[in-house]
Amino acid sequence: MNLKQKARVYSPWVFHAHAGGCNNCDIEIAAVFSPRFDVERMGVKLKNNPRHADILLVTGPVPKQVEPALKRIYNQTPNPKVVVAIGGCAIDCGPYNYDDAPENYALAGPVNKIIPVDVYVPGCPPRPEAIIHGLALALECLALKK
Amino acid sequence: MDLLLIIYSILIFPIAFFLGIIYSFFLRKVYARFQARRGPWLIVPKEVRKALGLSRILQPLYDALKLLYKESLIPEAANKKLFKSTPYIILGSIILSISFIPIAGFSPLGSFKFSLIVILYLLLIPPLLLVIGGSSSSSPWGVIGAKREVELTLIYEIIQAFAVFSVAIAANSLSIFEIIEFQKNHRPFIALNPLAAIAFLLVIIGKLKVKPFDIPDAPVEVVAGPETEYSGKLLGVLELGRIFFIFISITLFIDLFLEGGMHLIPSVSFIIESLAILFILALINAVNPRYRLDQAFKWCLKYQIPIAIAAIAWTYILKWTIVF
Repeated sequence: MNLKQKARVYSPWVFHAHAGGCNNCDIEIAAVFSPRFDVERMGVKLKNNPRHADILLVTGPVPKQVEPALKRIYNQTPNPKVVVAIGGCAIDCGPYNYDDAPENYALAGPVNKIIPVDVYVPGCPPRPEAIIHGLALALECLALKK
Repeated sequence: MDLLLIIYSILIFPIAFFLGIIYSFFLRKVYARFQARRGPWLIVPKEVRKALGLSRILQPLYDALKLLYKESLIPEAANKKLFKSTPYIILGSIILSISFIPIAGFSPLGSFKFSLIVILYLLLIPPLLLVIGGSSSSSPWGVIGAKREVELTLIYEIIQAFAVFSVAIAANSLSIFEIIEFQKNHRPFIALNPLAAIAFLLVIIGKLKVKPFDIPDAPVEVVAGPETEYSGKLLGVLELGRIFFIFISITLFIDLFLEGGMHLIPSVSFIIESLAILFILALINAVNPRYRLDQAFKWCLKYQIPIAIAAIAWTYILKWTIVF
């Protein structure tokens, strides 16, 4: 690891983008930053400004209303950036996506239809340990980016 | 002797930077511990040492470095010249002010007569330029944060002047070296004039944006205040400036009120005192909610300015009654 990658891996700043969803994944993300699973040990900081972020945590099946906002948030994040899709909804719209019925008319589809996703964290909601694991994988992606 | 002076003068900037990193790490760590969290690791556990390094004591440095390696986005509607130049001017003025402040009894440029006034004006540059940067960024959050920054800076400058000049009046000089000498001959000012020390500590709390007064960049109200649109390199420069600024304000307090940390073993007592002050700051940061802007203003008018005026009065009482 050279100095550039080191600095990147040691201090990832996180932006939490809520795209629809029922708030369960968001509660688990809040738990990740709480005393028990404190991620600040590894230098992860929760920012509420996409311009300061390296990692985007996206939760929820993206409704059509939120789609432009999510695209804008993605474009507002400076390179190099990593997107982590958290929860079943963000991966494949979860319960809103039936095999035998048409998709929900209000949804613009899962997150990877709208913005490129690097890491998927399955679960409904995923446990905080799973989210921390996803963050660790996101750090690997960050180190490999230019 | 001359060669030693030159070596010291060159060395003082890396020393200041390193101590600033340690201080900001300490602030973060103690703040986290007060919230029952762990904060950045002091010693990384063995299992993850390969990927995450030995220790996170340099965490603020990694933050700044990471930002310097990122791309910086500049908003289209911003006034580009002002927007790009302000972080560099802020960093420059802060670095310049380091050379005027005695660090553990030594300073490269500060041995002339009016160093205190030079420092006060150099330390006025960063908040005002942050205001310019925030209002030129074309973001409403930046403008709101800048407005709050202006209002608070206005009132802090009054209190800071009162607190600092009460010390200067007692020591009968405007040079920090002479103030330190005076404290060596008599007693540290924190014992002679505790009111001024309290007033100055409250100003430091405001300037470092510790909790009750972190109104200009309150994360829940204004996204990041004047720094909202800054990203990448420009934010990294601001981050470096913040590291230096923590160091400078703590050092100024120690020079003015604790005889420059020159009690037993100069450098060691200097660092220990700084960490004690940072501990107090972290405690205040952890236990307080945020003020509204008008509440903060009222608080300053009601308590801080009377304390500062009382500090000046106390100085004169000292001067007339106790033979200096």
